[in-house]
Amino acid sequence: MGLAALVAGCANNGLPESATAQGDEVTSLWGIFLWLAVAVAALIWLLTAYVVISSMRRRRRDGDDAVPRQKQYNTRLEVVYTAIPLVLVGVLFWMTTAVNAELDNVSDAPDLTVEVIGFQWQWQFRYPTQELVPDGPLVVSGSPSGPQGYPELVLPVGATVRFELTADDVIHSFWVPEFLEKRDLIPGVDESPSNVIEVEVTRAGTWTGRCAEYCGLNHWQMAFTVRAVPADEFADWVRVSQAQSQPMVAGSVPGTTATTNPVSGA
Amino acid sequence: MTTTLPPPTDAAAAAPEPDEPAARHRREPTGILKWVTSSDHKVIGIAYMVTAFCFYLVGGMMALGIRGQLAKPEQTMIDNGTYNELFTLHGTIMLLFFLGSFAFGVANFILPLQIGARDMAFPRLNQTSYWLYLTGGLVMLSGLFTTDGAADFGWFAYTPLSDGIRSPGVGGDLWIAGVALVGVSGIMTAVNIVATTMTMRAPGMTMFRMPIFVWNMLIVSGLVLLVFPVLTAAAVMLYADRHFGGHIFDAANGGVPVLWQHLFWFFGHPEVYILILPYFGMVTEVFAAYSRKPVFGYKGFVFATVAIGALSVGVWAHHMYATGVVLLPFFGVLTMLIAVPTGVKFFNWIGTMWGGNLRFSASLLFGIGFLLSFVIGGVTGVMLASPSLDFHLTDSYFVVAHFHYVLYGGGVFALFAAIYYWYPKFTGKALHEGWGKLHFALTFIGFNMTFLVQHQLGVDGMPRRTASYLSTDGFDTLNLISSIGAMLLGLSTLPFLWNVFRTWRWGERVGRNPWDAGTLEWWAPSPPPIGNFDRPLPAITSERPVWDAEHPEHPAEAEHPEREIVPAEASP
Ligand code: HEM
Ligand SMILES: [Cu+2]
Ligand SMILES: [Cu+2]
Repeated sequence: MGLAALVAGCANNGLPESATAQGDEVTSLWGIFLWLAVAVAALIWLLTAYVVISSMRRRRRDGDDAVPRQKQYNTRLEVVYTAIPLVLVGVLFWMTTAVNAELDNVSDAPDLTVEVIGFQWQWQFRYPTQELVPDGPLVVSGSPSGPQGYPELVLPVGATVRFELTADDVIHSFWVPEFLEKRDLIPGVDESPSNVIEVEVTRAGTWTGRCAEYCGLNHWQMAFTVRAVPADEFADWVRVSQAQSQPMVAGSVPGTTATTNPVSGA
Repeated sequence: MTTTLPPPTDAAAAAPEPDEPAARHRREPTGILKWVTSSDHKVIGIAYMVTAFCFYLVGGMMALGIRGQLAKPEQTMIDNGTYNELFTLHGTIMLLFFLGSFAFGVANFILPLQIGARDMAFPRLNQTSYWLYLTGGLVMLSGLFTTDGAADFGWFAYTPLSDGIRSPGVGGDLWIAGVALVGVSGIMTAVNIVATTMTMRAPGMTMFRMPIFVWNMLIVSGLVLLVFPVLTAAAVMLYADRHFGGHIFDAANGGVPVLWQHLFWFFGHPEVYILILPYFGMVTEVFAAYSRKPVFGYKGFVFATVAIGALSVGVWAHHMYATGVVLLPFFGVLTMLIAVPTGVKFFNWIGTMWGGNLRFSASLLFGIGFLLSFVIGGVTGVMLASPSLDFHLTDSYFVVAHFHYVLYGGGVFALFAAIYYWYPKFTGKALHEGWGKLHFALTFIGFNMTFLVQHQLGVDGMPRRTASYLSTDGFDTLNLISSIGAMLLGLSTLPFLWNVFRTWRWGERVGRNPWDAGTLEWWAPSPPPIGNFDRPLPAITSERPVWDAEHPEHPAEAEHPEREIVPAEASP
């Protein structure tokens, strides 16, 4: 199993397989940074190995007490090894800025808006246009028994989805590894435009999202399931859920007390 | 071939002149009373180092608990609350009570010797600083014995989690008090180091003849003076929020939670350079001594350190990319720029060993281990500097791997290199080389095994600060490898402790300069007496006066020998 994951991972240079258009951008940028990093580290390892081996040889030849040349400066070399990294850094920065523009891009009218609300230690996903709070009453807490208990975030493939990220108690962070980006949910930041990210989901699948900002006792159990489904399936799911759930109540952000659910064995 | 000056006899050394400080200290107490009362920089230095190392052992035990818990999925050996206390204390101890404090210990002992001074500028302040530091550490740890346990909001104590509502326990207050105490202590030591370096250098010891370690400590002290007050102030603000209804960071009452992050990281980022730059300095001395060469590109090295120090105060928000409220390109470009002067240092170190006659002592092995490990922390740092990549990597195990490659691979490896290097100066006896090499091998393997795999765990989606994970998450194999590595790393400390013990009991005495090194501390006896030097200092005409005195036929080559050639080439 581990091996299969390894082989699959190699295709994306170790990253999870991207599920969004934005993630694709990150994946290609990652490839460049990763291999440059490997090259630089390899250069230092090779130079060190060379110094060690050549010195061992010299020491055997000249003896332990031999005094080597006392060279201290080589200005030209110093300029070179300052200038080359400077140029490299410039190029990397330029590339990262380009990708960043994509990640920060927010459209005027996304196909779907989801309000993501984080609280100790659970998630709620609201679909305001669809008047939908699919998870209903907030009693679920992630449990070691497995992802069955996680709240579910359902998304249509091919749509541009905007996530509006808010929290009322402490800071949390919204992270779906397959999206290859995360953003914090910060109390107070929702007054101004809340933290927003937009993704275009490119493939169907089921993934685990996690809270990435440490938020107290049960932080590690604050996970959710993401299910990306084809657009028609999504429409069906909205219809069924609308029939089941109570209408959305404005401003009913959950408090923390209702959800403190100490974990079995903890 | 070594000496031009007649080596002074011990009889001459033992007879202090009447105005020597030794005369004043004639009735110095011995034993435990000496350690408690002495204001001698060497005694304080050793007290600092021993205390810091004890904190390292405590923090290390906590790390082993953490790794034990994470060895397998869904373990309940350590419950969530205890786990959170463990990583909070582990991080805080390692950063504020171990790595930086140990460096201050080395500086206390070595820095005055390296500039030919008899003591630090303010011995009493120095003593006060040590006691504040020790008290701060104990106060913070005492939280473990309170009913609610120690602080559990992580070493950067983000508000609102650390406020009085979410973390009401007294452990949090003890944490704040401990941080404030160690902050004040650090400021005192920094004042002392700056004053000592600026005013107590021996005649001839110009700024550009100071050993690299002294330079680095000077720049570190400047950074401390700049950012520690901010930390202490922020700690007071947090305390006010917790107890006096300050609402400074309280969003519900118009406060700004993110302000804490700005204040904290304005301290926190320079702090990592405060932690690492002293070790850059130490390892530089180690490379030069065991290569029997001067530091390659000495001046470039100094400028690079200045550049790192200057840039480091302008990059704090790279810890906050994911908050969505910082100017990404600004902090991105400044952060990446730090890679340039850091890269320069790698070439300085390799250049110092290049063509040298390397003596592969345990100390140099740790130095080489430092090069090989720290470079990995450096290149992953550039990856994290890119906001686009950081959005995926931040707060994951990738970051845990990154900063351990910096703090352990960079800091702790250099720390051990320094211990093996200066041990004869500290105690008059050299540590055993064989045990030292075993110590190195175990450390190098254990360290890489623990932390290399964590990069992949983070990329796969494992967040940091998770008390456990599910068997369905697919994190099992790499976590197990990491935990086994951590146990090996824990074991690697045993040969070191044994080495210290056996050397104390049965170690052989060594002379003033067992490694044939060049800086002034090697001119003094091992260990140096009160007042430090028992004979006139050699002429100081370069940054390694002892080498110049003992190897007058091998001075450093002219600064720019190519200058003599260039005009000839240039004229057609
Ligand atoms: C002795 C070997 C060490 C091991 C096995 C180890 C292991 C760990 C692990 C597994 C974590 C992550 C805990 C979590 O996020 O849940 C951690 C966190 C940390 N470690 Fe270490 N560590 C070691 C040494 C060090 C050293 C020498 C330093 C610094 C000088 C250090 C500084 C930190 C810091 C700052 C954190 C972050 C704490 C936080 O998230 O609040 N560690 N360590
Ligand atoms: Cu969390
Ligand atoms: Cu930083």
